[in-house]
Amino acid sequence: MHKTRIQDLVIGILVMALGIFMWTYTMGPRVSDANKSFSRFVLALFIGLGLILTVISIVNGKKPRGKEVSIKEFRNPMIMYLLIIAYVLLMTKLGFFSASILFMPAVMLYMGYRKPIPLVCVTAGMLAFIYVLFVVQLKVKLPDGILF
Amino acid sequence: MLANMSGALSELLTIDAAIGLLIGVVGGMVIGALPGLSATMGIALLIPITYGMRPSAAILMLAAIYTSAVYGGSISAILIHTPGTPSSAATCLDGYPMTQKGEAIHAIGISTVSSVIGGVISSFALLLIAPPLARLSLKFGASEYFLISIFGLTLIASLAGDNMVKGLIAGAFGLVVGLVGLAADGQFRYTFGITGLMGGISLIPAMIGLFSVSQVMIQSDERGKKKEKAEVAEFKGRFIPPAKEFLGLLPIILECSIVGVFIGILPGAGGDIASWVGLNIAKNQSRHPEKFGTGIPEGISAPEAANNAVTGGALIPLLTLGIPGSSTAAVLMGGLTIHGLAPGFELFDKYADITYCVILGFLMANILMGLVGWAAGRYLTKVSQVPIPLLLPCIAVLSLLGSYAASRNITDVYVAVVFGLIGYLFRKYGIPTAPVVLALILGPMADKYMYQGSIIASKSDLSFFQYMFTRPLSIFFMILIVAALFAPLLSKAISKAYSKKNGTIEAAEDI
Repeated sequence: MHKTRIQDLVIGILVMALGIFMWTYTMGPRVSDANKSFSRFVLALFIGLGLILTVISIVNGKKPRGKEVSIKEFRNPMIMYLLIIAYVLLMTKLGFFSASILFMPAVMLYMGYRKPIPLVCVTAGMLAFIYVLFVVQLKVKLPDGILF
Repeated sequence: MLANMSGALSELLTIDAAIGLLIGVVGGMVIGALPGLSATMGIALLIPITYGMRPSAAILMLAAIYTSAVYGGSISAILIHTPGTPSSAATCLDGYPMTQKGEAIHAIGISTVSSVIGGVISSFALLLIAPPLARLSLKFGASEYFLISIFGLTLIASLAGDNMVKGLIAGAFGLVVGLVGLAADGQFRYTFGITGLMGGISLIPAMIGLFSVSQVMIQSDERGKKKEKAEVAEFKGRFIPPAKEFLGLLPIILECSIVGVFIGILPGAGGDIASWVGLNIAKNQSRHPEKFGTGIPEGISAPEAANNAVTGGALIPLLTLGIPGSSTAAVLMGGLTIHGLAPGFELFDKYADITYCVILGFLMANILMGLVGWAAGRYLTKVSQVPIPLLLPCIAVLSLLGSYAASRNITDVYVAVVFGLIGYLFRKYGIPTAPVVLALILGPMADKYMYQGSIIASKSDLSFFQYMFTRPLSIFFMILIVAALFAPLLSKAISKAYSKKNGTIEAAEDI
């Protein structure tokens, strides 16, 4: 089986698994009829499409379709994602501005940017813009932790 | 309509509206000029900025971003041979050769004039077509609204991209996500005891995650890659085309603008298709079709008039029937929703001041876009060369902040982060993200009207489906749904035929 088809097969199976898991909820005794009918209609569609993708992947297994994705391609995006998660966690602990002061230069450095002046200026400029717009103008209370 | 104009004008003359208009036009142009960022993402990212604004100014700003981003995309297409948005891919073909010939400013001038005319014509179409269409919506009941939402969902097929099944899965996923929270009958479902999920998955954080956070992840793959700096041409030539040249181009600009408006009204067909269709019209009518692709003004004016004309056209079904015909329109609909505005007759009656202010402002935005383009167009190419490492953290911070500002709830930030990963994986594996948003908007709408319709039908001892067949308007919508299911096949065939005929260029990723 071609690798792109294996990818599609896995997607199809995951879709069906999620759909079936959610279907079990509609079998509960406290679920109303109206609620049940719409949920089941949507889930049947979801599971059905997952099944179609699975069958197509198996039937046309040898023909490539779409782009082959290698695990290596996930490295940078996943590190970026971890940085974003760390940023969100820091935001709740340290506060929005403190977390942003750490996050923005960290991303720039990770992306290989080494010029200190633009790095500092972009961070400071962006946070000043956010402060003026959101805090001063829109009166949004941003997450504040132990710092600011 | 005229009676509403005075109220609309007083709305339009507020400081808020003026600021919204200016930010929308300039911001849209910058977003459009940045390859990889599209109008869809720009609107998703900037919706949070509108929270504290008057609804008229907020929607005006978002609509201005839409039209300006489409125009902005042409600037990088002309100057650095990189379409800023997918709608500008056709412009590259003649735009860049003109730049190579040392006529960059002239090319931008033609693009500006054509985009302005296309945008202005589409604004008038919006002003004249939308109100009577909205009046029709007064005749709609629960079954018609249910069918309209189903009709909207059929657009998923046209947003599906190359792989129809994956596109439909994306749409069905959006429907599944839409199930979370309070059901139409007041029962909670799929909340798993989490308080934050009781109100359902919020649209704005989900959209920001799918479009913006995922884009940050995708762009992070540029790390360590040496990017050749695009050569920026010298800025020479005359911006405003000479009268003789302009008069020669005018018929094709007008024709492509009208075609663009109709393409915009058609569900699922957007600026990218319109620009190729426009280019083909110009080529077919030219006495020298062989010159296309060598850098001639017609090759810029036709696609640019057509793609900007799409914007006003796409707003017609959105404002009157609540059908977002494209991913950008779907995001724009999200903007309407958060300001408490529901598409339909009310927009042209109860909220007429706001709606006509947006329409008149949209007209002004198209004119202002030309003035800003004239003054600053040449400098926008600098924007398209901003290093990605500087851009990414700004997008990430604005995305998460935007998710938070929606309801000032940290749960929404988590939603954006989760949907960021989902959006990234979807895009990586060729599953389009736009259908998720469309389904997330229309799914709960279908649920609500199906529930209401069932109650009405039960009073006549009918099932909901039997009841629908008793209403002529519902039957009309059913026919429309069947027709819409075949429309994407047709539009895809047209698009493929045109792009093949004219030679394609790798377009900026449609996000």
